[in-house]
Amino acid sequence: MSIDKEIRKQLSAQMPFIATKQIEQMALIRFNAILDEMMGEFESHPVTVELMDAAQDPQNTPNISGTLGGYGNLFTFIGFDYVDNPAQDLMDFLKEKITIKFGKPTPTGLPFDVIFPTKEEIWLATPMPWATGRSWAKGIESGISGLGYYLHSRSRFFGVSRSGPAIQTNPKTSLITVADRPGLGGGHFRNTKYISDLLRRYQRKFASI
Amino acid sequence: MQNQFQHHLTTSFALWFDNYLLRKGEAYTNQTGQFFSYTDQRISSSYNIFGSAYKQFVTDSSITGATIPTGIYANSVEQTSSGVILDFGNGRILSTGIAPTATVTGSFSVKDFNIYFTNEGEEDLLIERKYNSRSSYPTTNTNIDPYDQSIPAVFINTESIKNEPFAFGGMDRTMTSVKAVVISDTPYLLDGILSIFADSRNEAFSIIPASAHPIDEYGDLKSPPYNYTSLAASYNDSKFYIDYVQASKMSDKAQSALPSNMYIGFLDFDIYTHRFPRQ
Repeated sequence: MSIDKEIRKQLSAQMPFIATKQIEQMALIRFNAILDEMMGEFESHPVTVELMDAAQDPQNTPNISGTLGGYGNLFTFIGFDYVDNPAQDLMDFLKEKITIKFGKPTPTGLPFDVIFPTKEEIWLATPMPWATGRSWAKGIESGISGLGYYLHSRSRFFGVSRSGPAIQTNPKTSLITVADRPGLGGGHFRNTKYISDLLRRYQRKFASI
Repeated sequence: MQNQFQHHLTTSFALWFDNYLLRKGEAYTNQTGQFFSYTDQRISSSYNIFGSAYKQFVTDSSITGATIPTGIYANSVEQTSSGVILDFGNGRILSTGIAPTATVTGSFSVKDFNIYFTNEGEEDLLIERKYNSRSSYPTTNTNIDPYDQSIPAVFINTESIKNEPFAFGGMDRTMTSVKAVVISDTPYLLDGILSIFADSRNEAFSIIPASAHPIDEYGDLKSPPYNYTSLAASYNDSKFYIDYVQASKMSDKAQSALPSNMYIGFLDFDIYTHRFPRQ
């Protein structure tokens, strides 16, 4: 028995649209799985953990990332205020900006793009607390001076109650002594791979959906 | 040790930076003034030294309108550069023939921003150093001390170099992070220099070998006149390019925590070139 030619034509025309929803659902599941994996890796990165912990307890959080040779922590070294949560802000930014966008279905498939923030967008979204054009996330990868730590320690900038007694200046000179300057006297800031590396690796994974 | 990639980068970047700022911003002031006799323990006693009230003089003759000194006047008699050493960086002259009692005058262009290469960290530059501000200089009857660093100034530091595989055959992409701290005594100058270099993204500049640096050990031109445009054109085969530049100002709040009343800015450059580091 043969199907009418006209019916066959109509069925053929509907096929891509019927499959589209299924393909879209499958792609979304795969996209969310990779995104979850990526965010999980970001959350467990030592720099993120250190910044998250220090946002809750800036005085007692250790330098688990090793970027300061074990002295102090990144949060106070960069010069964040006690109300800041820079790693959380970056995580929220990534979750908002990494999206999947589907195109119009074609007879050969369903085109889609995974939208990633550019490096420049990330740098702009991660301002240094004392120079908003500079990025702390870029600094993690390319180097950060001890300037933020000095500024953080000055009560005129951050207020004594904010930084607490963990950071002290030399009362005679009002300058920070070497012993008071974790990451300065105890060793320099050591760059480490962070967000660029993560994005580069996961862009490849997203491309494989 | 022979000159290495880092030396070439430093030379190339310093010369380009100087030219770019002077050319785009006309960041210099023409001056005519007296040079005052003084002694300097670091210089042979066979030289008599005469310092101006300014430093650093413009050396680049490709800068339209700038006065590049080729000599000075001693008791109103012209002394050409063959008879004196012009120390452009320290704003002074060295001479074996001019008596310390002579009245020495000259015309020159002074850079709006002194440019220094440094290995010091930002915190050291901004916290532990004290600077003379040009606006506070007495411009009559005295010279400026030769080795003091004075502001407005830019302190340039090549922070890190990284090679990444780029192409078959051993070609790498070399990324250098160059950071500059800008210290100004007026917000106008700070805004100006940040604006100029914020626009320098995607600029390319010639890789000039360290041996071709135009300045000698006394701060004089090796073979005057020095023209950056011509020098760069003669090394046009390979280039550095500025992949990313970020210009930012220190916030007012943060600035108030610094010891002195300075206006601070930062210029962060990512500079790329392609090369064969293992050949």
